[in-house]
Amino acid sequence: MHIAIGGQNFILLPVLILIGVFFGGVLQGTLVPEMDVRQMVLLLQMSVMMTGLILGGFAFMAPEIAEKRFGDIKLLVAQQPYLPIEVKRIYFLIYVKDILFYSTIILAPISIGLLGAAALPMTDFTVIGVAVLAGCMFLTFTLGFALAFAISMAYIRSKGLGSALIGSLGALVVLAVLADIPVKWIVPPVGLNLLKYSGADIGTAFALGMMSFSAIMAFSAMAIAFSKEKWESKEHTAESILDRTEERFSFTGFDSLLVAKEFLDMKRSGGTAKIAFTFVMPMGALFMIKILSDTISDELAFGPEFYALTMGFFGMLIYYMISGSDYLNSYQVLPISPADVIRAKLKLHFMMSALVSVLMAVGIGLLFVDAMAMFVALPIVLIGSVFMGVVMAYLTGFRTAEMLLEPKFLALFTVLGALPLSMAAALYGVLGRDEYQDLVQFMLMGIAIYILAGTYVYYSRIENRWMHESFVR
Amino acid sequence: MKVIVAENIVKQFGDFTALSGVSMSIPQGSFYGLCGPNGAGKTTLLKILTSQIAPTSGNAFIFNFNVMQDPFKVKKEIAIMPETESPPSFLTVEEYLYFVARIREMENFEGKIGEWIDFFKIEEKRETLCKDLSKGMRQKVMLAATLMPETSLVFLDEPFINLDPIFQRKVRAYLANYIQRGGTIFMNTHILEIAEKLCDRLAIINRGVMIGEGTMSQLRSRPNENLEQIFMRLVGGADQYYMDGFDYEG
Repeated sequence: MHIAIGGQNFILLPVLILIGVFFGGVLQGTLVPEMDVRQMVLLLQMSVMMTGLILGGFAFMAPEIAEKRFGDIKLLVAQQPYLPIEVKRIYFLIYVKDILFYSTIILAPISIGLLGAAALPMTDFTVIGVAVLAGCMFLTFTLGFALAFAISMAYIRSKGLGSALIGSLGALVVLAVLADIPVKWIVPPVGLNLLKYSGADIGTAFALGMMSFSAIMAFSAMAIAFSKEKWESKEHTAESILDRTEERFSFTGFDSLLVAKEFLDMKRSGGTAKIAFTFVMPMGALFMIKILSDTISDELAFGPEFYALTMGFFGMLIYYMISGSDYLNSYQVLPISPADVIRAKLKLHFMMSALVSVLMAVGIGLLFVDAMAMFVALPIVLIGSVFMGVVMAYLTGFRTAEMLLEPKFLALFTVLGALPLSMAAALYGVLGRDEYQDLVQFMLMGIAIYILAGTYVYYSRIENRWMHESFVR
Repeated sequence: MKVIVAENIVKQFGDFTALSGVSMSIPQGSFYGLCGPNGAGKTTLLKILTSQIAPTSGNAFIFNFNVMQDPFKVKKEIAIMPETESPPSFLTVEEYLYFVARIREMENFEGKIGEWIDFFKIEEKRETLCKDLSKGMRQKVMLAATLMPETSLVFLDEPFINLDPIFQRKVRAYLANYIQRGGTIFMNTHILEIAEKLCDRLAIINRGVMIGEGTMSQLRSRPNENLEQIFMRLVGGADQYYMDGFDYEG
């Protein structure tokens, strides 16, 4: 629904993942000696679960994606009135296709990369361990994808139904945690994988396997059952408030009109849900990682800075939402500078980042049951989020969705944005744990300077990079 | 004064040549009509002249501004009605006209917005999100946004295609009046009857090559030849290449 299968893009993303995982696997013992294979597997599984949740959650925005252009539904899913095929069947095919596609371009290269690492004598990975991991990753990813897809479909069909489903599942998880039910029974594929390292007994493995399979089948059935029978566009009206909105944003400077327009685009294209998405998803991930890392391994108890930096990554999600809120073809015939449009999007990004960062900092404070953690986390989340947004805006402008899988963009984004932030997160993770403290602190200082200076430099270079670009391709 | 000048414009998309050596010179006050079959290069030429895309080679000037070097100045001086683009999805009709007026730095535009909403009789759609408008309504909104700023040069790409006969007639009358007031129009159209009625200069383009240009009398090969007949004659081989034996002399 939201991906394009193209030759070069299709090949290079998995290649990048494969190389990254291979070197990560080989250097893991050197870079993070405290973390054993079991802990790495746990983190990997949680990342895969989150990836499944996020990608399945894209279905949440299907109506906006489908209808935003010209008021018509343009995608395959909306061709049902003209074709002898049921919408549910189209959804089912998209659902299966997406799981296979993402498994091919994400899970397969991770597995192959780790197999490569396992072949080298200096690593602790084994071929059997990687094979078990690969199978369990597929189950974990599919479970996350199916869960998010089912909730999205329920929410699109009826907000009440969607909210009830989220509430019920959330309550079940909370009850399970309160009742001290082991995590392996809450996320069965992860538990199944970890059995490999805690002594597998066939009965438990079979039970966890069956639970994983049953949960996936149940959520898949719900996803398809909740999908709409047919698509219909409705006529939406709204009070004309662009002039007042422009006044409200007059503090943003000369491009307040564009900021106001971006704000209305966000608001009217399901903005509340989008903000919730950019907050709930990362917070869900954070809570899950924290609970699991605390429960299963004490050594993985990271500080609030680590979590704050991890949350900063999601600034790219906020910019992605703003960047794709509407097509800009109509700007092509007006005297509007592309750089002004990108800056307007970024200004809205800054405002949304501030809001989401405060919420995240409160979440981190609650997680650590410590008010100081909240104050420590707030500037880190905010700076991280703004930095990621600026890098994303500088590199992709108003074409974020199109360029997301382009190899050139991915490589640049990795080097300029993702790498410094993830290095900072990793360094915070080991701060206070080894003998190279001075070096770690020095490196953290260097990265902080880069992030602050980079935010300024990339923002000021948007004009030069985008001034001659066209709004249409 | 020449307001549009094109010199040997070539545009290639990969191996496909969309325009090969198109030149033109259009004086102020003209109603210039560009006709041609589908894929002849009409929209490509209009996009080049309005700084939307760059030519592969050649030069074009609008009010003496180079379309490649001064795209922002060109777009400030002209108004463009695109063939397919729509107004922003999530603005209401009224908001889009406000947006255009503010972007174009129009003064005292509040009354103008009301006038154009009334001209196209879209009062009841004033607060409808543009994404939910019908094709014809969107065309009206785009036309209103194009004509409202009253720039002295207007580019129109198939402006009548989705309009009902009532509004085709009303817009024709407005455009004729606009020319009388000294405006200049460059219009792409398939509707030859309208082009013949409105335009004082006409050009016919086929497969990227300008194959005829001038007034109706200059284009005629015999007395009383109408534009459709001229078009069929000039496009050349129409009977064989395009018609495949299907023809209707209504």
